[in-house]
Amino acid sequence: MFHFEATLLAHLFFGLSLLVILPLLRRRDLVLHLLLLLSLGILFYASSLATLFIGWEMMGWSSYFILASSARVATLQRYILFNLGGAFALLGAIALLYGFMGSLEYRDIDASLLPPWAMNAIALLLFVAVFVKSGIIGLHDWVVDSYSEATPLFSAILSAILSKAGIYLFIVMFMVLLKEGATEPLLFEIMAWLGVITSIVATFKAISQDEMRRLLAYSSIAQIGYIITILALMQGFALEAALYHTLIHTLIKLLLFMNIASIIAITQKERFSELGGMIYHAPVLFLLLVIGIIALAGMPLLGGFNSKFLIYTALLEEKRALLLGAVMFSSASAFLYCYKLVYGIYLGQRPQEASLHVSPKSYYLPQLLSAALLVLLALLPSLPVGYLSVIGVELGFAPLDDSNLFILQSAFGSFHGGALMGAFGVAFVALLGLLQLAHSKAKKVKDPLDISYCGEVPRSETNLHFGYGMGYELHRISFIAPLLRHHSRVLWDRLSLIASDFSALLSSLYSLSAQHVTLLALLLFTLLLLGGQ
Amino acid sequence: MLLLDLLLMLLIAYGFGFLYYGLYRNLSARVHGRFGPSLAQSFSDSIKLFVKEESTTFGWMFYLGPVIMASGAVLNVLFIPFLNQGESLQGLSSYGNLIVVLYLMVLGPLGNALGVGSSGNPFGVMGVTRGLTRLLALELPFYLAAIGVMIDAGSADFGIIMQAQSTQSNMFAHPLLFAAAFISFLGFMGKSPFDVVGAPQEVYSGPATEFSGKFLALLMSQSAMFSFAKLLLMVNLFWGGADHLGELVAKTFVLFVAATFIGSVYARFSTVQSVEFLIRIPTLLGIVGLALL
Amino acid sequence: MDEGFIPYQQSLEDEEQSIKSTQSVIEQAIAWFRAHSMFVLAYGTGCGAIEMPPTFTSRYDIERLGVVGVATPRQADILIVSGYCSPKTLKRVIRSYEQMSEPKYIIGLGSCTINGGMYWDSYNTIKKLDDFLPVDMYVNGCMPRPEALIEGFVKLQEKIRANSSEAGYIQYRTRYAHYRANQERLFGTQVQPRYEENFAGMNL
Repeated sequence: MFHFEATLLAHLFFGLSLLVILPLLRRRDLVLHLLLLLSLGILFYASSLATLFIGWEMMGWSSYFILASSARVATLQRYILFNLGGAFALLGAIALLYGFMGSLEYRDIDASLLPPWAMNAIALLLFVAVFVKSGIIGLHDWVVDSYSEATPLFSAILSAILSKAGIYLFIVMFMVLLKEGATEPLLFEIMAWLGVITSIVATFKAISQDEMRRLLAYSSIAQIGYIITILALMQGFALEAALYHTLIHTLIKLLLFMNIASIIAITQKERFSELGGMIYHAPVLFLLLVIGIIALAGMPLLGGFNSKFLIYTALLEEKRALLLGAVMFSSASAFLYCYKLVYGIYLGQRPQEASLHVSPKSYYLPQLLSAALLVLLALLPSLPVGYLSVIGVELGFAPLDDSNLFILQSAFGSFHGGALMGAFGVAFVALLGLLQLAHSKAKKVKDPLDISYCGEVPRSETNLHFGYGMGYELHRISFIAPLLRHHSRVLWDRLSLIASDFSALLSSLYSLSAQHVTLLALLLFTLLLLGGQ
Repeated sequence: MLLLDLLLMLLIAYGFGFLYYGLYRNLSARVHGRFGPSLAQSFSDSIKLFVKEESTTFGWMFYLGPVIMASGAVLNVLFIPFLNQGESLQGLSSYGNLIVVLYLMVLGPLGNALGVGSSGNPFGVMGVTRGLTRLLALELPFYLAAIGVMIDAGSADFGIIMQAQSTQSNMFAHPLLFAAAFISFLGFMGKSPFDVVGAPQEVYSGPATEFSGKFLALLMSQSAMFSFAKLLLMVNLFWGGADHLGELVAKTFVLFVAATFIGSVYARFSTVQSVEFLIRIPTLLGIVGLALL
Repeated sequence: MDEGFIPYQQSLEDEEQSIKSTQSVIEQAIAWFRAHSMFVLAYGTGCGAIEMPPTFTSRYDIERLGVVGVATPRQADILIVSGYCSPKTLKRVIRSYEQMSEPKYIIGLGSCTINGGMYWDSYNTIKKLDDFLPVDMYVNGCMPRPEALIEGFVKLQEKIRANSSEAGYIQYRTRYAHYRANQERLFGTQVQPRYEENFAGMNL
């Protein structure tokens, strides 16, 4: 029965990115990366839950080893603890399923036989696994830390590829295997809102970051939040929207993280406060980043809009007005961090003249490829629809119409990618010509410090690049300030304190003196005797 | 034929944009008890800026910023239909929809923000930051209202949205949504009390700080066209569009005058105030309006 | 020619007419637009600043002439130096003037800009603004009332429409050495960057 076309996901998102990244890796890391690739293969081509779990676990620890080369111990512990927690939840769900089905093979699973309580319990456990992997807010600390402390190249892999594992798990479990199950609809409702709350909180957190990769990590969490929200609708068009967004997000994050890897290679700096004014040193990188952020912001004229459009129309079709409002709010707030990213690195004034290195040429390849694909997808938005629909059709949903590759169809209207691009191109060229022909002649300032600065002449040591602090005023807005505090970090710290207290208590049992041990043993013995009677 | 139609749309938007801008200066002068400049003053200003002998630039991104901004405004005009029936003045609206237009409205400003940032002037970036911070709250009520309108019409297509209002316009069918969208619209028009972005005394004109000569001229021209596009959007979404050009002019004029009069009497909100106000009042209106849908 | 005030005024206007007729239609149109749209950078250096708000607001409403205040020198056409200048202020005034786009004009408001006025023997104000920057139009008085300033604007409009080659900004470019020398004499070592070096060239 199970001709599982969802494995197409593997070709779609992961094969592409890995092929792009693998040639770039240093030889020393290559084995571990191949292991990671292998684990992904196992995960995606599994036909039984046992194989799936093995793939899931292998993915966790192989990336742990890769991470170990650069991350702090605390980060590594956080990474492995959260991922183990998720894996245990997954294991629990699989065990429960096995208890009822007596088999781990995909084809033997019939969710309609499950009693509602078991189905809900399985759903909850799976939610934990999915949410940990996707970094739903509260469970996101490991994501941010590991993204920012991995090697720049591995951050790209983490964000572009591994962050999608949770989504894959959700699709396989809920939309394929447990489709017939009587899951409480409220659970999906909660999941949808969790996704959108995650995206809003993560967006604001991203705005207030000073480190480039932490900003992008929060941005990844926010984007995955949309996908979680849209998947929770459990509809065919929603699935297609989610898959489309996954594809776009993979391309964007690959582009952005590789771009930042190049910048780190050039400047050896990681923070916005230490960067700035790189545009005239690295114009190509600047243009690539601009393509990335315009797509990330979901503007038309680049591929990012296509998936946003599908997400919005899917939510409209379900008449989920408030959910859609929240998604659009988060998406509009994302403009701020998109601009911060490009401003902090490339625009503004160079803080001080530091020596610049050369970025490895191989870093450009994945960026160029992603950028080209984003532009192509903007021109032909329906290009991947046929491919994405295969999965939906296999799962019994109606496919999207892709008779005209220029037009992206949805139930709530359509748009013509070619017309948008063409109109913008013509307008751009015409206006540029107008500006060139204008009577007024453009004169370029010689000294970049020749800015109008209230009649003052700024010196090179004047800090003019303080725009990297944008997002600071969010702390003064009463609705947003509470979101920016580190609630989850405090929560987990408390938990770890309690845990260490408890284990200290346990360990004290081992370090007692002989009399105390004897006394305790006697006490226990008496209790047992009493209990026996 | 289509090309002629598009050019005509641009011309109308340009002409009426500058006319309304002149009118705005005149009307607010009357509110202040002055006479104000002539109606064509803004147009003269833009021509004068085009014929300044020199314009200062800081490099190619600075040069392209206003071009991207103006292209965004042109696209906005072209993708919003002027009339709710017939073949003419529909532009490229059949190739797009409301969601496309909502996003196109931000494309230009973001492109310009790149130009502003590349000038290296901190005041410009302060203005941009103010604008983007305000934007996140400004768009929310408008989005909520647009979502209501789209769900009500069952489509994001402008033609269908306007057709759905043939018996009763959305303004009366969903007054709360209209109120939410109208407050947002005041902000989009850059009118008081939401004009903190370019406050001259605080951030030295904000994003426009470094733009001189032809760049400023292009920015002024696109701003005139862009305002007309925003008026069109409101008319199409809430007042059922227009049957003919006369009705369009009348409707946009009424909306414009309302916005001008409100803008003339309110003091400026700070960024934080405007975000908090926009999240409190119009967003609440929008949410209640959606709940009543 | 007749003598007396009115014929004298008439002779000045005739002179302007003759200048205008030498311009082509396009030049005249450009000059008209420049004259009827004046963006003002009102630099409140001295007490003259107090006369500018009434000029711009309801009672005198100079916006009727197309005069608008702007905040940054980049956008401005006209710089109003309103009163005395201390060397410290003058540095900023010069910087602001140099950042304006051509064509640009200066209005010296009040007697202090002409000859120091009541600050004639002050130890730290300059006496003659024209030594450091080319002033296109003086509005004398201590202080000149808004009517006088408006009159100054009207006169400046005529001057702009005449498009004469003696306009201040052309003087500043051609006789920069003279102005620079005066500036250096005043400021000593703490001079601003040289104006000629502000631009890398006429390109993108």
